Amino acid sequence: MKKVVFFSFLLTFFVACNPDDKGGLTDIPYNPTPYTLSIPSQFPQMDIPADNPMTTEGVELGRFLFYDKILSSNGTMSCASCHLPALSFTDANATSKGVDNIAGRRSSMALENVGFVTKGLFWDGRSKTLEEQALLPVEDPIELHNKWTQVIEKLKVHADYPTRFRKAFGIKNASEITKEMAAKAIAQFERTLISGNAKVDKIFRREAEFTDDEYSGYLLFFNAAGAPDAQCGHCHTTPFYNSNDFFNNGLDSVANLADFKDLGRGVITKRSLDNGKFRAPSLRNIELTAPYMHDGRFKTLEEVVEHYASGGHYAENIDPFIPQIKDIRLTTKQKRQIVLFLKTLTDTSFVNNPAFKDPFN
Amino acid sequence: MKKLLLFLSPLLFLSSKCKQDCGCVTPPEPQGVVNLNFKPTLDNKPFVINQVYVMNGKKMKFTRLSFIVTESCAKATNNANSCGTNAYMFDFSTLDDSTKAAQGITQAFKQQTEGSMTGFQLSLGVAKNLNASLPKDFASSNPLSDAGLYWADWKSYIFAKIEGLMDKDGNGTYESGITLHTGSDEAFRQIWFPTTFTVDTKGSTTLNFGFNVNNLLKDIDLTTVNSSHQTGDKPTMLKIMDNMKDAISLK
Ligand code: HEC
Ligand code: HEC
Repeated sequence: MKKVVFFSFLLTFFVACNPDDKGGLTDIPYNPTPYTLSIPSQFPQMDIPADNPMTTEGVELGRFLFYDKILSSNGTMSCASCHLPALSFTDANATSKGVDNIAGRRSSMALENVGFVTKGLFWDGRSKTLEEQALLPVEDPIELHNKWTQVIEKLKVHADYPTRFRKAFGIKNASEITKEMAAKAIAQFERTLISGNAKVDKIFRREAEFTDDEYSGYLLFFNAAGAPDAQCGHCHTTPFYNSNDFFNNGLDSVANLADFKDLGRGVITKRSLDNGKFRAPSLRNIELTAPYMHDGRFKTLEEVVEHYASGGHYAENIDPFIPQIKDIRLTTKQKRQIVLFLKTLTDTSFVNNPAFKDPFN
Repeated sequence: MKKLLLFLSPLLFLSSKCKQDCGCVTPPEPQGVVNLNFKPTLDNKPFVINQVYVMNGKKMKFTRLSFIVTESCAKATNNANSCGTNAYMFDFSTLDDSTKAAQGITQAFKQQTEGSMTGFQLSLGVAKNLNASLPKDFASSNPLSDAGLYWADWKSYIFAKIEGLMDKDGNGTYESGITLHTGSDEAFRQIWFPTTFTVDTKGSTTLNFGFNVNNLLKDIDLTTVNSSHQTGDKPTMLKIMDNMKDAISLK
């Protein structure tokens, strides 16, 4: 009897110990290094959520997850399949296709400076934070079409990820990995995607100069120094050449506000006046992110400028600036100058930054 | 060692208590709150965004009407000025039905002190020292962080935006844009309203202002003057700001 007691004591010892060993991570030091963003002086400070401070380990984990096909149902796609670094994190398709080869109705968005977006992510602003956004593509049927529960199970038994989650978030056991942690890490990586070293930035730092045509395009864009007002700068403002607001920039003519093919912002606010409105995205690296607009309808920047020069298509909620563009009757030369100015927003040091590239290659 | 600990621990206790209770680490938050309410009207009725109005003989709809208030001050009975340092955006663009329009837009204005006041100075636009800053200098919670409110060619914030669409040729479509913006140090305006009111921490008092859009656009022919971003448009811009002083009244 005594022996049994002794053995059962030993047994409890083992039982208590063994599961701890399986997935146990406490031998690995948890000592995260604070990550300081290097924000160009022309940019504002970035809002970092208090519950997701940036760390080197978090950013690195986020980069692995962003590029890992483990996130998709059939192991064929990752976030980077639709957000390629060489294309400023877009995918060259009018509308993006997911794992099941079904095309969504919207065009992939550039992720440069995405950490500075303040009034909602996506073309319609429906997602408030990068942490909230990063949870969505995994389960979206037209994107990675997977289940987070399945992704987490794979991550828990993975050779590498438990250590990375330990180092980034201090978990004691692989079983503590959650989708929220994965989303936080991805968000940390996305906040590092800062692009502020285009030719235009060098010009403002007096390290480069506009050509005459680029300069004329710049003046038209911003209605500066008495140049005719091509109105662009009202919605695509410095330093990101964007606006966090939503506009109808005259893409479609509809008799009734309910008739837009994609209701855009209106679905979120439930106001018909917001139907057909979309966020005016950043034009940084725009040369690399064709095709253009929320549905990728324009193949080239020339087509985009032609669209604006025509004053757009009328709908009841067209933005008042759009018909005014027609009034100044942009010449062929002026349209070309605007395109040349847009190309000064290309930042090759961003798209070639090794820190943003696929860690599996 | 023990002595050191004994000596330090009450200090430690004090300093941590201090942070929580008396706010002596960061400067005190403004104490007093007074609500500012603006009710816009056009043709003596509540002003509704996107509703058809006849201006200068043509049908038009306003799509946006907004202005910024900064550095306004209440005068206390002892003649001391109690000012607020924050910026406030009054945007009538959400007033898209007559019920909302009748309620107007209210913002809680925070200032340094509480007590009895003898008047209120309303500042329209961005005061000179603030206007020398850029949107990037402000936290995203501050209205002045909005890059869409800055017009680089003027080196100024846009103080007011009046935007709309006009049916110029009477064909039933509103295809002519109106985009009147104001800004620059010269355009900053202040209005002094003598009035007695009390300011407390809860914001129990509301100052009710009327905002007469007919006065705002007095002597401006929207059929010909439809934008104000060029250097040559300065007279229009200054006229709008002068008009705004006449458009605002304390009820
Ligand atoms: C199938 C292609 C596809 C995949 C896979 C994909 N995205 Fe996207 N992404 C898009 C499209 C399309 C949009 C725009 C959708 C919209 O506005 O409705 C978008 C928008 C975004 C935005 C918003 C950017 C902004 O400026 O508002 C972020 C952030 C983003 N994706 C991150 C991710 C992350 C992180 C992943 C992986 C977890 C991912 N995406 C996977 C296609 C994809
Ligand atoms: C009234 C605001 C407004 C004005 C003025 C304006 N834009 Fe836009 N712009 C937008 C919006 C909104 C979008 C996104 C629309 C969509 O996809 O439905 C956009 C999209 C774009 C795109 C495509 C972005 C992408 O990632 O696909 C380019 C390029 C562009 N604009 C350039 C210009 C130029 C050049 C001008 C001046 C000739 C201009 N814009 C004037 C609001 C504006």
